[in-house]
Amino acid sequence: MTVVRGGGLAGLVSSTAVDTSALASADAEALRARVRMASLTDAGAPRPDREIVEILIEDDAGAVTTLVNADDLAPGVRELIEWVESAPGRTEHFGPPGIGPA
Amino acid sequence: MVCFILPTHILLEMAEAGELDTREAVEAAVAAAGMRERRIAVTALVQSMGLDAELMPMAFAENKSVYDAQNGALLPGVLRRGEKDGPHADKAVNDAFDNADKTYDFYRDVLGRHSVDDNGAKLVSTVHYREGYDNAFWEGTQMVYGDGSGKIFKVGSLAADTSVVAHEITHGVVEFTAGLVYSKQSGALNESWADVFGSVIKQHTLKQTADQADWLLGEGILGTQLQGTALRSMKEPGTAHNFDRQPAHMDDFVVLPDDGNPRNDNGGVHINSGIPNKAFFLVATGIGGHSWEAPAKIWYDALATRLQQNSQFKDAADATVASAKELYGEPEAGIVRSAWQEVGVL
Repeated sequence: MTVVRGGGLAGLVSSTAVDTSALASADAEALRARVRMASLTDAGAPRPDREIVEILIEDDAGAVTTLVNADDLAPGVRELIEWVESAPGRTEHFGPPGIGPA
Repeated sequence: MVCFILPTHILLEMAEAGELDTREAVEAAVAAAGMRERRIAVTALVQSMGLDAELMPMAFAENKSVYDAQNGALLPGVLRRGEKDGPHADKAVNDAFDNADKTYDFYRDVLGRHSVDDNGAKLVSTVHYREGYDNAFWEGTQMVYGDGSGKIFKVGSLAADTSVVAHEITHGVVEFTAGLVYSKQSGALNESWADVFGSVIKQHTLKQTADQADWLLGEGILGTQLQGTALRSMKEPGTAHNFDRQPAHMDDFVVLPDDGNPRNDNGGVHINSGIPNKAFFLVATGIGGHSWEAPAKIWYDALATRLQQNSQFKDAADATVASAKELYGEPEAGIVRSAWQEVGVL
């Protein structure tokens, strides 16, 4: 599962990925539970300096991509993003728009 | 939620839709209507005295307030400082208050504009938004400041930086004037005008001439993941930090889609803004003296009277040349035209 943040005052892009196969079984189950609970909503029209977050979930059933406005998150979605961005074993990348990161 | 600056019909529609507390909506609508009625009454009085109402300064009560989100996401949060209050124990509250004050005073004293809507709207700020949040933004009715995580922005740096605060408030001014759509070239113009007045208001605060100014946005606010001096450089776009890709010429314009993908920055709004940013720098240094005099007045006139929602870079060049010619004459118009030629727009 990958969380990509872009936009904001800086206009830069950050990416945090968690490989559930590298997680302890309890953590992997916690991720799946959060995915099930998340009520993903549309990001809406672009607005100045607001962050857009992409949530990419890849599993045996395929890949699902969702875009949300970072400042208008349903509680379940916020919890999901915070979990990924603080998960043990996560990988983080940071860079400019257009060419990176992942 | 504070919605004082929204038009009455929108406030009432929001209340009807259950998006706003009905009592709050009515109070705001009455206050807004009251302000208009006071203006009409004062204008009638001035005219009855045989004076030109257009020449009479209108009385607007400056009204700033700073709230504390207490590291949550609910806006505006808990009121910490109102217009008549003295400094608060929390530095972030005072930083947001003082920088909003500098920005409000600049727009009023230099450009004759009363707040973001030119109708005396409250300037509401919220600090301590979420935990270690690396962003500041104009929310549509107020300014919002995260504390910064230390990775992208230094902790406590966003509300403390005059150029950042003026940048965000100027997004509000843009919304109430040209309403530049936040996508591709019109979005880059939206970003650029916010950068221009962010830098100009910082220079006004420091009493610097165009030659003395650093022309940096967010000087010294970068966290550990960014190596550089500032967020953006108007003098030398693309040099502010290690991930700064801003071009200074149309030859290097970065084409990105506006597809909602967070990797594409709404079609490069924070990237290609380097081109009009450089144009303003060339105008300010070309005319010389203080950037808040002719250069800022030309840029403001173009924003308030000529630019439109979908204006492109060429439209911005034509608008600022026309404003310069109308306000100051051909010599200044020539400097503006040359600047846009130098960055490859004309």
